[in-house]
Amino acid sequence: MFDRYIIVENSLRNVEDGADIVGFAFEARCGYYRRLILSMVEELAVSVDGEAIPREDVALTVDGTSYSLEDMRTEYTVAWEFGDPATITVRRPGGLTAGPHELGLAEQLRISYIPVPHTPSTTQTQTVAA
Amino acid sequence: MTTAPLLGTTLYSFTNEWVTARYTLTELLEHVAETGIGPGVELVGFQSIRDFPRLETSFIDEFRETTSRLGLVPTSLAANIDIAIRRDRDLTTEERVEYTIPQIEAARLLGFPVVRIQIGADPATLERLVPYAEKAGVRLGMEIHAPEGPLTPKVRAVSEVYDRIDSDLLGFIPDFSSTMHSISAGLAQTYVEAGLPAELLPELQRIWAGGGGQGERLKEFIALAESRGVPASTASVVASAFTMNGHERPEDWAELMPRIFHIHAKFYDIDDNGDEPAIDYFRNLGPILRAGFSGSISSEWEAHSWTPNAELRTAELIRRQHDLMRRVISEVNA
Repeated sequence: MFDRYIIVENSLRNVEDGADIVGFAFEARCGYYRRLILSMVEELAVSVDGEAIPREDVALTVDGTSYSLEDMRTEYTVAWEFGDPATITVRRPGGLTAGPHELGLAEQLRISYIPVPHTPSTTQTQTVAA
Repeated sequence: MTTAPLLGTTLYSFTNEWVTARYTLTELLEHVAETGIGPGVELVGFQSIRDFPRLETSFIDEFRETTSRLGLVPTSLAANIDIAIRRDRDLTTEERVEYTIPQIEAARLLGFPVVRIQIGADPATLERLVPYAEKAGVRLGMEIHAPEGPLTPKVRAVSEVYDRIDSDLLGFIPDFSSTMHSISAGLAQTYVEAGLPAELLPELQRIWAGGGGQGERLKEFIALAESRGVPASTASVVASAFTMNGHERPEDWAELMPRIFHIHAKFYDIDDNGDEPAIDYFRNLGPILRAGFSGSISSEWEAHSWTPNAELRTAELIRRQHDLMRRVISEVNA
């Protein structure tokens, strides 16, 4: 429904841990029209330059707490507020090279009264700063 | 007898403005008042209120002060019963009731006389919720949205439950998405942008308007597209036309009176003649008014999901749609 808004523009960057680049991150919005409890977020399929990222390497950070897709399965309290960007972090030693990258995101959301999963998705080019 | 329903707007119409953080809730209410698309105001709790249904006292005070200062009238608070929160099983009746009670309470605290519920509210849950609604002094209105319609089997089943429970607090909220005469042109255009050949649109409209269930009509269209060399994966983008736009008979809404106390006046566009090109407002709203409706009506503009941000004219469109509804009201009162 709001596919075009799910990736926040100009938010892609590498993530450092001390001296090492351990992955990359970007900001994402919930692609439904309202907030969803994390247990209803079934998949966050991330791709970069056409390469699919393994689901175990993806985490969502809401209000300072990070959740793997497995953690989210049973998170029945914390919600992804509508319009509030949350951080998607991808574990990837070395991160991304400086320059433009094609970033893709498909959110598979379980909408309680619609039997088929709702899967907003988008792809956009973002540039990692040197 | 003349009828004068209360016109207003659901803030859901401003979903684009909201997701891009163009307004705070107070600013959005001010915008509704300034542009004259109230006085009724509806909102989706889980969209417009952080941490809903938990409400801070300061939030309640600000909402009440703002609506009263602006002369706005809270009409309906849209609730959601998320029965599929868990993956291993649906919520039990007890859990559904517990999930909904705070939303009913939120309506009371914010001054909304109606809580919008959805078709997922099963009979046992409804029956359990009535005493809470009574205590809170609010009514529970079940929204009837495409692909359901005024007389579809699921809605008939709810009517029977209402007959049995026999409470004035239970009613319906028609959404005109159920009773359209064609697929909204804007929605159809999104399919062309997704790769469907434009020359298939007349066939899509023809099959959509034909007989059979939504699934059968969708299959019929996909088969036709395949016979014209369009892969099923491309043709299936049209699925939402069959779920979001329904073609039930608009006059049948009147059959649900006197249980209709609020309306979602769904619309996508207003043409140069001041009409909704895909929804006949005279056939939809007219019969409900003639049957004695005097409740509230929320304008629900839904083309926001494909309208580019730079082209948003939400309030202006709603103002023109209010003009259309005033024409229907005048005709009924004439």
